[in-house]
Amino acid sequence: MATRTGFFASGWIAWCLTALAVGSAGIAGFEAQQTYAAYEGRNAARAVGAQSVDSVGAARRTLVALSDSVRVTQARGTPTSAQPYIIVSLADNRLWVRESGADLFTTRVASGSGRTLLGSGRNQKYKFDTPRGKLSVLSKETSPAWVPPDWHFVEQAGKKKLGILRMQRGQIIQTSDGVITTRGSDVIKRHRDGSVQVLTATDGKELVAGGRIIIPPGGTNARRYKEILGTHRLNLGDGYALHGTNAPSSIGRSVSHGCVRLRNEDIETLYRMIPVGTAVYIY
Amino acid sequence: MTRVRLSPRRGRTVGFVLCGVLIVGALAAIPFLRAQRQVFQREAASLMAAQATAAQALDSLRQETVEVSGALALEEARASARAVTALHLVIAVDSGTVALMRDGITLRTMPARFRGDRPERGTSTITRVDETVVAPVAPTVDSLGNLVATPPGDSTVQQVVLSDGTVLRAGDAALALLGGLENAPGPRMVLVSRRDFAAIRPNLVRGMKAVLF
Repeated sequence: MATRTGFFASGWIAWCLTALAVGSAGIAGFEAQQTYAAYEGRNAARAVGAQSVDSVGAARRTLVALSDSVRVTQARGTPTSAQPYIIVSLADNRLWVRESGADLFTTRVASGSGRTLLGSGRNQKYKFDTPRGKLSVLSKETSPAWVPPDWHFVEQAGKKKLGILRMQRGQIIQTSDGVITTRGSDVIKRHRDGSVQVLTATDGKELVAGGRIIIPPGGTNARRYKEILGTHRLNLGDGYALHGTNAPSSIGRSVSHGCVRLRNEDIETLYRMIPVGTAVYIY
Repeated sequence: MTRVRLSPRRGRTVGFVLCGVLIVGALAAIPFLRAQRQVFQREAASLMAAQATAAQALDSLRQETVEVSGALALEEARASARAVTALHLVIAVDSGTVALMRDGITLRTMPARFRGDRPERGTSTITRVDETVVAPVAPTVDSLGNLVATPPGDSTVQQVVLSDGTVLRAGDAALALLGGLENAPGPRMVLVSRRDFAAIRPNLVRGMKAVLF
């Protein structure tokens, strides 16, 4: 029988201690393994988390860039200057003043009748349309005088069944009681007794001589009608304008000779709010 | 190499000491390792939760990106419509509106209804302006199944035809208000009210651009 020596000779205490030592070392090893697994899991979660943060950051940057692009695109092509502009709908006989798409003012207007008037010349025709397209306010004036174009006299002659006489400066027109001629900016009548009368004309009360309506020379006072165009006028060029009227009942209808008529209080508002150069869109 | 031989007494002592150290070390290490593991597990759990939140955020960001991309495409189309300085038509397919534009300014906006397939997005031109066409008068029923009589005069309409085949027509208001027009047979059609069509009609000429978006 072999005899144990050294540590194990101590008997069951040594065996117990050894078992305890081995057991506790085993448990510690197991715990270490579990902890290492947790450590690995934590590291993996950290790596994935970092990747997610990167992905979220990238997605957020993409979204911000896209949103910026939307804003830039929204701004592209829109009128940058906050200038008002005028829109006129001929079908609706309505005018709008807008700025950056918002209505600042709107009112009813009268626009071109679309009628055609035959002129005195061969194949001469006058069409009373308001021009469609883009115009602009070229100038503004108060108490505007109307210089009637030739068609006005053709129209009046037609209404009154009279002829037409186009008068030149210095021309002498014989009448039953004297002569009609020009003096400076006036058209005058020199009576047989030597007296001189400055002749004036207005809408519907034109100068008539020998059964013919006289078309006074351009630049004479007889060809400047007052109070026909209301209180203010915004000139659009080519004889077209936005102006007031002495016939407010015509507003809302297509009855004008091509200009856009407004009530006097409305054209006064426009005169105040619209600078020269403002775009006028007529459709 | 010399082998050290311990005396039995000394060997016993060394054995006891080694066992003791092993036991004490193991017993000390176990709670430390457990505590450390809990720290790792808590951190991992918190990272996982953050990751789930990040995944949700990523999903929602991706969704938003898709929507903003759509909005960008729409804005690009709108911008290209605004970029046309000449008078032109704009047809917004999604919102169902037709607009007359110039210089980036909307002169008139009109509600519209579509008949047949929705028009394709893109740029088109007016190829034909028909003063008056005779529209086929088909019996129509309203949403309750009642027969709708065609009002007198509604059999003639004005229309313009775009290069992509879309017809822009002055529609009868009553018909336009009824449902089911999308499935009606016939050419692809954009209907605006007679009043709106009459207002823009004198401005519509052959060759005029129409931007559909």
